[in-house]
Amino acid sequence: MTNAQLETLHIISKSPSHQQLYSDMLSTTLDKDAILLTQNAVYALSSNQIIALAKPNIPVYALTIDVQAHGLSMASAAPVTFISDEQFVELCCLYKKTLSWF
Amino acid sequence: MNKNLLLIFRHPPFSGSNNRDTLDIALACSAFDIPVSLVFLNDGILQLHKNQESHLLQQKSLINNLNALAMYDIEDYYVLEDSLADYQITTQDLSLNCKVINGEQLALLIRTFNTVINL
Repeated sequence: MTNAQLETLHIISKSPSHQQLYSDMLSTTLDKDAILLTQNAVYALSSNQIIALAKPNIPVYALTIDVQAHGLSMASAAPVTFISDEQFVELCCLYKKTLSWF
Repeated sequence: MNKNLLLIFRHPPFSGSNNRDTLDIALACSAFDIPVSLVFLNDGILQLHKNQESHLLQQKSLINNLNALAMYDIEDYYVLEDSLADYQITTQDLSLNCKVINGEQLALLIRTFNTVINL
């Protein structure tokens, strides 16, 4: 089932030291988009400036399994929603398309 | 649903197979009559730089393949204004006739495609 309201799910998998990748992703992120942190991108949770760069109306998700595997705290100050692999699949279905940044 | 495809080039020449792979996707999709557009972003614009002499590195250039895209009805090429400015390159220096767009236009362009591949 697709929800016509939601547009692009941006999936990023590199650590925040890939600044160009993050700025490219953020510059192509519009209303009704969302960002999902996977793999080493979960380190963005521990560098709040990157999360803060996301526009206020853009939801940011992170894969719980990656956050835990990398030993990071789930009690992030930034407004992040932690999701399971099953919810990852659901999220992909909710958005018109996904766009991977790696 | 009419399918269309946007391909993003982000890598400089001589740096792995990403750009060549992306080009292969373009040709394959064109063979199936799927409309394809190309965007050159950041280091990706360097792939289009004229006067490359790849034979000096014993490598094949992608320039000839890129110039042949028009024969496959792939004629929509976009290049990011900021990327040109970063490298002090003008469209005159590029081997394809690209439309120059800004970041906001790129974001809107992505919206108009139902598939985007970003290798």
